Amino acid sequence: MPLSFNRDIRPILSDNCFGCHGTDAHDAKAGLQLHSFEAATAPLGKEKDRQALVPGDRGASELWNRVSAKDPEEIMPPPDSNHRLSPEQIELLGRWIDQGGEYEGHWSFQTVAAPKGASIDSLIRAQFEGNGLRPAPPANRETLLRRLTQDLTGLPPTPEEIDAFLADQKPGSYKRVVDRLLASPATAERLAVDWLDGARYADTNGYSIDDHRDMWIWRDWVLHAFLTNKRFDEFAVEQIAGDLLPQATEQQRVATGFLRNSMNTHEGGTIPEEYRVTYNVDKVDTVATVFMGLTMKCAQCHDHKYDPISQKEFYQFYAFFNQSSEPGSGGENSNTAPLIEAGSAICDVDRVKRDVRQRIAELDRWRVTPEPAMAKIRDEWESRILPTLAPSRKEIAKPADLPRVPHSSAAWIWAADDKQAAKALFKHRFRLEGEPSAAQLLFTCDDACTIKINGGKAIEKKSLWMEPKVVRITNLKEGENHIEISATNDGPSPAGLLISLAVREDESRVKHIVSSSAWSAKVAGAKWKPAADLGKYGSAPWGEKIQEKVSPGGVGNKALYLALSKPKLKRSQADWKTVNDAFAAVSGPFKIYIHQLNLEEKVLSKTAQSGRATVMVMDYKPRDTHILDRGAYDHPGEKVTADGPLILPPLTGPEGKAKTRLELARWLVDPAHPLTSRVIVNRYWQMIFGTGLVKTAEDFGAQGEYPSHPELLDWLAADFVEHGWDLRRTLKQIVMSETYAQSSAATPDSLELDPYNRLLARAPRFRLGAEFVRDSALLAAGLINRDLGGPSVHPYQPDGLWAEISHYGYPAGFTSQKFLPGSGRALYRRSMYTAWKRTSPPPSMAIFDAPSRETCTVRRLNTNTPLQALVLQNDPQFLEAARALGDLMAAAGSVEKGITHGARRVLGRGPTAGELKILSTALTRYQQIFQSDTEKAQQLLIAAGAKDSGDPKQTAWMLVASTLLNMDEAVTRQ
Amino acid sequence: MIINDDTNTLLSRRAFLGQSGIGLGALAATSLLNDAGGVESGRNDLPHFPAKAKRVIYMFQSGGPSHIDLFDHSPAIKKLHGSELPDSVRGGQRVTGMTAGQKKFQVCGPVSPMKQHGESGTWMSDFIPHTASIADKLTVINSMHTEAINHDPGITLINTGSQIPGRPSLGAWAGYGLGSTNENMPAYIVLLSQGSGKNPGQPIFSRLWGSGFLPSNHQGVLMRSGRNPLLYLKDPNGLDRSTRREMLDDLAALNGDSFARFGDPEIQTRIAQYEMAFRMQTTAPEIVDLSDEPESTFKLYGDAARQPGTYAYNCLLARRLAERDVRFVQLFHRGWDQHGSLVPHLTAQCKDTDQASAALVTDLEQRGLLDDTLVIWGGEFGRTSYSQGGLGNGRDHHGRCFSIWMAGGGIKRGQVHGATDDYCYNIVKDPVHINDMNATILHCMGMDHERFTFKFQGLNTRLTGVEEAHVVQQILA
Repeated sequence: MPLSFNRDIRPILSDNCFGCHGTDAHDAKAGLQLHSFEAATAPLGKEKDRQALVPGDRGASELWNRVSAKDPEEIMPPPDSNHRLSPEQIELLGRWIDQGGEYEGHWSFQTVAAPKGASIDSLIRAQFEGNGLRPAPPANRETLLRRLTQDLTGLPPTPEEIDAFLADQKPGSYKRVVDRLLASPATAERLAVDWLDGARYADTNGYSIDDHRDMWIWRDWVLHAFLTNKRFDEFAVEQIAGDLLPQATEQQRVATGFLRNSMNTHEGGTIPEEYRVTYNVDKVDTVATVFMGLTMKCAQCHDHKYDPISQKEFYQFYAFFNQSSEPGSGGENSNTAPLIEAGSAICDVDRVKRDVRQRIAELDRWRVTPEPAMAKIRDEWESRILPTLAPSRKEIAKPADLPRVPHSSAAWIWAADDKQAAKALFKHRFRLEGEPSAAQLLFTCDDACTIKINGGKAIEKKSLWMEPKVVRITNLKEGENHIEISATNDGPSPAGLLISLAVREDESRVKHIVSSSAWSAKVAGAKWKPAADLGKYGSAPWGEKIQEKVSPGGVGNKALYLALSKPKLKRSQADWKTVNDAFAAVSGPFKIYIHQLNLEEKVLSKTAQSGRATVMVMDYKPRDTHILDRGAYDHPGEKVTADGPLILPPLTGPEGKAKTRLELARWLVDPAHPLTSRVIVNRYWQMIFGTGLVKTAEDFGAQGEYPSHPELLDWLAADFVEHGWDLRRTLKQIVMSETYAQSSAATPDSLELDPYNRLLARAPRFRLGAEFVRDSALLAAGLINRDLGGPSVHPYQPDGLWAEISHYGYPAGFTSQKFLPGSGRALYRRSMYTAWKRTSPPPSMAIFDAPSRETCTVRRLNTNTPLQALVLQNDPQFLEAARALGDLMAAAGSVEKGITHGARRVLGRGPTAGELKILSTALTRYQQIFQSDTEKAQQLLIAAGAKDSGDPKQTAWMLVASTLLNMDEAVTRQ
Repeated sequence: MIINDDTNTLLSRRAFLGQSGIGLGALAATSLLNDAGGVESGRNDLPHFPAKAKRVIYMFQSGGPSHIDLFDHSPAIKKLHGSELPDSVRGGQRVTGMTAGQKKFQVCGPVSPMKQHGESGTWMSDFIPHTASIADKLTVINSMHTEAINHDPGITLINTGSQIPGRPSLGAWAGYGLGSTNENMPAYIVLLSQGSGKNPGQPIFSRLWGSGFLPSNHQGVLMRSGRNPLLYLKDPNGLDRSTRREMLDDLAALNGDSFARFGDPEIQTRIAQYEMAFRMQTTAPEIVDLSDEPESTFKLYGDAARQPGTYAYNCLLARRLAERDVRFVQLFHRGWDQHGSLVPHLTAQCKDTDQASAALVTDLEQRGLLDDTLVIWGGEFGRTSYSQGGLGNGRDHHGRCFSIWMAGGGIKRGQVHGATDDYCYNIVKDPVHINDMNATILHCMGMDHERFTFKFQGLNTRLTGVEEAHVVQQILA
């Protein structure tokens, strides 16, 4: 076979030489560059009498002399570079020089050249010759239907679909299934999953506090695009520049959320410009990776070492995204401007309202029924406090019944001029409507204070600040009252004064006079000014310390008395609010918990009203772009304007005007662009065959892998573009091929000849993606909720995962800091709707290789681990699925029918005789075990989410179902 | 694929399965498989040279512990207390948005006196008496530095070698390179605890123990208190071990049938992984069951070690994991972010960590494990020697210098490395970038950080980044 530069030589040079002798002219060692024929044949050395490459003469070529040298001083690559050429590689270089040392442009930058009259099968089989391979026989029809359904929808076929396909004997039956599936909502969902990975979609902001954001409206746009088979070129243009289209529609602007899925931060101390740059670099990385398979990010700090992209070109590309008003510091608990409010392309407003209200109802339920540990302490508090609340005239006057803890709105205060001043004075006036029956003052100071009320006796406190003082006050009067305080602060630690004066004005009402910025304060030499509010009671550093020291006392609240007097099930929402507010005032953890629920509800309230939500979008705001020296935001260099890389076709714009994202988008989908169509069809090949024709789907540059079937890649790319960027057509072409329909069974010969199955003389066999492992179990169990689109949901996950890493409990409060599980039908939505917190992704999916969605991912690795075994065995979601599937199997009528039904639901086929024997024996065994221990049988059903009691038989079926769901074949497409 | 992809491990595993002569009929007899497949094998070319440290325990102190209050002693600083930090020292440093607007930058000396300890005369604060008592076993580095000035980029950088998310963590690299030495437990275990100083502390992220672009089986596995020490570990109520065993035997037989039909080696791997999961279900609860610990253990680590979820408890678990040869154990303790309330919060943080950190070193030594276990204590940056707010109120983030300590496998005893100026502000001797530190950790584990690469997006990517990084030879034993 004649040598091909791109296939045989470039990988050697790129891997071993270009790092020092590549496209980066600034960094080229000894002034030698080997990335082009011109550079490699340029005269070298002091005398300019040598050349790295002398075409046709390896002996005269410095390149050859150095790579074949034995002397460690001479040999290239140098021994300390960790690169070494094999004898075969050295000989290849020699032969290439002898054959003329010709270069080819890097393959992926060349125009797509489709072979005429070819087909997928002809191009695949062309490589069997010479490799001793023969196509595998076709897969049987059940296997094929399950494979096809899994590949296109991420779900197994139902028994009805299997029956229908097996019964359809007419020609074209397979094609009819393909058409049915391609048009199905399930296919749109399956296609969306990969797109969400590339677009780094998530429901949280990502950096630091990682609080909530709303981008699901954009996700619905993606679903709608796949559902309607939107032309891929339009799909691309709208996501990159929908806002710049003439008369852009709301949905076209929504589409640009693609770019805004980048993470953002509002960490205290952030330098906004640094992060604004980071977000834009992320946009460059995402667009370059998703559409062009280019690692442009590598040129952020210096010229690309391997691909012809200079640092200047990076910033020219970056300039497209830099023209926006997006700030560096993000919004808290929400989206960051620019944003719009928009409706879903999939769900009508009533559907959205229904979903959001259901979520709010879930939050309400968590208020009424908190986690068991918290419910327990609240119950204890209830039984302790109720007797003290019974209204009895005589006791009302007892100050002991007045609240002993600071009212929750009390703030720590100090003088505004100097928050650490050693001495400060305070004063405050307030009115009372009548003469109070009792009053009690709780106060503390860091470090000491003296209080006078209405000019009466001085009340002093010098003890530790975390031990508040409580005193009865008797000299309050109707009308105006006043408090004067003199406070001191020792040493350099923070100062603070906290006061809550509880006054009983009548039987049912307690009024609180609390320290706040409404008080006046001064330091020596300054004027009276409003006091500085140092934070509410409960905030660091004082809050919890105070709470530990202060015992809860009576609240003296009639509404609370009435609410607590009712049985729990009879309490209204208002009652619960009263109870929870009162308990939150005395329990730090409960206060945090309720505060979290309130915050979560608050961010939903608008959508609950309108059925619409905000979504982050792009806008256009001209802004200068500079090359950033070594990528540093604070080292701007030469000014540049937006443009594409030189190595690619020219990116043209309107004459005399700056180029915008719109020109960029149109350039990407110009049929002449050599990368976009190849990169896209490669990823769909990867989706279906597990491995792309270019395995490095993320890198089509010099360091990426050369295509296993370059002509096929071009044939698919050309066909895709010629037929109007019709994704459904491309998918159909692939799944209608004989290559696709082969059996996946390997023989010792085929394993030996092609262990990684890159030549596809058999169908590949690989584990399902994380989402589809769960979705398939839900479908097999009959539990799946097929609602399409809408806001994210919160299915089961182990307790505490969010709270233990997050800012949960921070007084100001942030959303998505504590996982609050969903309920009802929301537990069974497809996994693509699961709320995605970037700093703690859903664990059962992360275990099955789902990425964190922090940055763009276009290829997931596929692992096989013990933790996966534990998920399938013990995750409540899979236990519940096993129980539900077991119930379906038990209902089939007989043991054999039941096992057959289960196998068909999970594996898409009936059981083999061996499987039937193993599973029916197991069923009998389990029945015996659980009949002799019905309590265990019941426990197991409860662990699997059963609400009613069942019998040992049900438990036995559940375990057989679980066995099926744990089979390798259950989580594998084959 | 070309080099350094997942194929290396895949090949070796497949080759192994191929050679181990497991006949199809034998697949149901799962005991045969106990030695196969389940254990991560690591890369064939590693270690590059014999390792001094077989395992690592990394006690990560998240939030930025104050070097100036704990380790970095300046004889001059007492006199400078209260004075304005000279511009020449601050040198146009970029500071966080939190103190950038401050008008005064008052120098604040250590809030508690420092003394010299042990024969080495290592300076340490009165806040950490237990650590001080083992000073002669440690190398303290006072010349650490980082570019990051905020928590998210800071902890991401020190744990993954990059401020931008997406890179594998140190522990993931270690597991990927060297594989597991315990066939019943994952190679990389993570333990979390909350600080009682600042609570809640700054958030942490699963990316800090994530696998980045490495295969996801190398991500750190959370070990937690409670009934499920590993996620999804515990079988549901009502399911006995014997019943689970029977189910797995059935499953192995079913999967064995499948292997007979499809010949896919991944099926054998899956069978082996179910066996490892079964063994983990026994091993992990044993590790968290402290009933076999004598009273002397709790005397050493402190009573807090009885309390699941505390730092002290996690230190004790780390020792129990080291005894079982778990390759890489990382503790994350939060709350070291003392912008305000410096004294009470620092006191509380030290109370959380001092005794148990020291106990772990002592305990490992007593058990003969310290020589081949590398122990690291440190956070993502230090804190400013100028005050945030009033004098002594708090300190802002400081990346120009900070302190960590290391001990055990491959590290000198009783050493202090590097020095800073009078203000504990700029390094004047032997700077150690966090990439240097990571290079040194890999070195102790037998790996050359320059040769230990993984091809990602076309680059031979390494933990220590693209800039030069150096193993700190002076601290190696």
